[in-house]
Amino acid sequence: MGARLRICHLYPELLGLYGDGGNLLCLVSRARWRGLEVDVEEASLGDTLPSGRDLYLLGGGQDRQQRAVFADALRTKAGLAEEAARGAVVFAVCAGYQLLGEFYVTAAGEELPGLGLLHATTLAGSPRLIGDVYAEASTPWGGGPLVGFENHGGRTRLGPELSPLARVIAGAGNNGEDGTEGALAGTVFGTYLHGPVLPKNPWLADLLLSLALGRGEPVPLDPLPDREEASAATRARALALARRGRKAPAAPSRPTRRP
Amino acid sequence: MLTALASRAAGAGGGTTLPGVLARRVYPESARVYSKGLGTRPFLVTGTNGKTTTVHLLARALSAAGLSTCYNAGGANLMSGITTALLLEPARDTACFEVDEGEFPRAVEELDPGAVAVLNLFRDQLDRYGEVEAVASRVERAIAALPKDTWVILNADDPAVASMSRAAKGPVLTFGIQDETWAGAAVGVQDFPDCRHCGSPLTYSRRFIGHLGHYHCPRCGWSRPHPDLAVRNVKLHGLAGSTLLLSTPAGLCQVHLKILGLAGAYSAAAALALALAGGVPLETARRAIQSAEPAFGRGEEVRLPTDPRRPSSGWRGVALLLGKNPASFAELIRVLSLEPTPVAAVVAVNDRIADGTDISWIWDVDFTALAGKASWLLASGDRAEDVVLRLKYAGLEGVASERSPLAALEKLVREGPAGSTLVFLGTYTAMLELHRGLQKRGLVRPFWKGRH
Repeated sequence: MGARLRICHLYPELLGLYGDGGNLLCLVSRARWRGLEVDVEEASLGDTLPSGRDLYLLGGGQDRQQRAVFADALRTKAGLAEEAARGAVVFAVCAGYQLLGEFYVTAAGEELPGLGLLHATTLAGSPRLIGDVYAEASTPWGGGPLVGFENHGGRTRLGPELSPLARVIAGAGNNGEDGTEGALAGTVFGTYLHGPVLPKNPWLADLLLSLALGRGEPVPLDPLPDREEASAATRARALALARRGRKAPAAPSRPTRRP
Repeated sequence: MLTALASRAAGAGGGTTLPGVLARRVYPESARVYSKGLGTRPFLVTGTNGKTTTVHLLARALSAAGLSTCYNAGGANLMSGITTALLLEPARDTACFEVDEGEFPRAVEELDPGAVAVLNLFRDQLDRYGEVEAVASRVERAIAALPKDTWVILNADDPAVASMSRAAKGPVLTFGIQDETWAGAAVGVQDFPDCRHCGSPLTYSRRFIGHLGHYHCPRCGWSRPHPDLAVRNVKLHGLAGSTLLLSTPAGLCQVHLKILGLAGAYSAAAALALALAGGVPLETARRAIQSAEPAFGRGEEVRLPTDPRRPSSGWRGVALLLGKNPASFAELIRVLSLEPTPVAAVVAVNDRIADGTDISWIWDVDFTALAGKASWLLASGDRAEDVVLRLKYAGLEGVASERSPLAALEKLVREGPAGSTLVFLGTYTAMLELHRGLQKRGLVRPFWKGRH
């Protein structure tokens, strides 16, 4: 195909908890399996945000790292909003997701201002929301089942205009109360799901790739077999329902793509 | 916590915790009283990885020095397990216990140890104890609460552990690896990238396992202390063990270990430091450590008939390797990559409470070295499907799976290619389940009896 995908991994060593590096491995592999060329670069504390990249990736971290990351992001990564407005995809997990919101209030009551790409706010809470998750996602480009593992103290509330990425079937999601999980605004995706989330939800990985390559307009991608992915997702869904399901659920949706 | 206790009490078998649970319910001071009855105050070992092996080595050294020693050989490392060990063998000269990181403050308070060691703090079971950060603070506070005459043994190569010397009131001994041969060979995730004093990112000149290595802070100048017990030279012989040259305050010594990998070298150094702090002569400790067999699941070999119905058809040996978290898995893969032959392996991952219910960490382990070395692979355990998917992204598509660890092991023995080294890599409960199955067939001894 000859197309080239340029990924920027933000704070890889600080926001690298819970196997989120697997999301990068998944995106890079799935692009390369289709014959695409992929460049990956990292930007951490003190580094200016590289501009014009197709996809910006953020993972989860510990509280101590989070403070340093929030402060640094406001100084050096504020350009992320402009990149997203130009159609770059931003995909953020857990602490990275919280960073994209308006602010995060720590357990000690300190308010850390976020980058404001998502009209969402997060308050530290207790107990931590921990366990397998199964949710049903919907986006303007189609949706599908979403499985993963959540482990967060923060309770995130979405603003009235902001759509969740998914509705929780089993698990807690954004705050354990309103049934929402993650958020989606334009090409900015946030989620609490680790697992890591992309390898087990290849339809979402491919949606991110296709939006990134088309700068916000999805481009078609060659299908991949995804046999291993499907059986891992089926198992994860069954375990999430058995362990955290509240009611007998409907059959899982099939991933859909609207043209 | 109650569920963890209950699951271990119900699941660990062998009564390694239940008597203690009951005793503590009737008389909460049991452990305190029994500990006071010991001739020499007990030794405690905590940290994420290497506790069982370190205590196993230390118990041998103390016994070799003529001290009858009580220890929690079964790996039951909550207060219930420790109390059980004290109850069952109360009239001992001394005791050494491995202590769960979360339980360490309570153990210190109840047992009044004469020496403690903190081996390392890796990411492990985040779902249970919260983040490493919180665990580190709790352990450091417990160190600060120790009296002036308690020895504190710390890993110089782990910044989060080494910095605890600031909290210690008593004498401190540090241990670490000086041999640069192995630096950078296996780089896992960093759990403590920041300086413990000023908070800025640490710079590493060498890294051995994950964040264990030689580091300094470019801003405030804090750096790794020079270890009192330094492993000057390490030769790793794959599954056959290793040879170490150590310099200690009591002199130089060479040790041929049957314990595996750099992780084994750290455990040996920690056990020697504890033994020296306890007054054991260096040569006595060295010999004792040298003759120690690997502990449960730490490279012990089981032998199985290729065909269970016709034992005369031949037997094959399999090395059992317990991998609990990214750091220990990565270290095992390094050990396997040094084997002279190809490796046929079962990788079994469970996500029960004792394993940690979040298995995302398998994505932090670099499986590519295993992929290059493997002649045959089989995924197993409650999350076998996740293992298959992980291996696909390490370049191995279509790996088969078998849910039951025992059935997977039998398949390995039956189908593993001739000329390959057979290994079973598994998380804690997968290994436990396997052991129970093997034991029913009389193929292994009950693990809680330990090995002498």
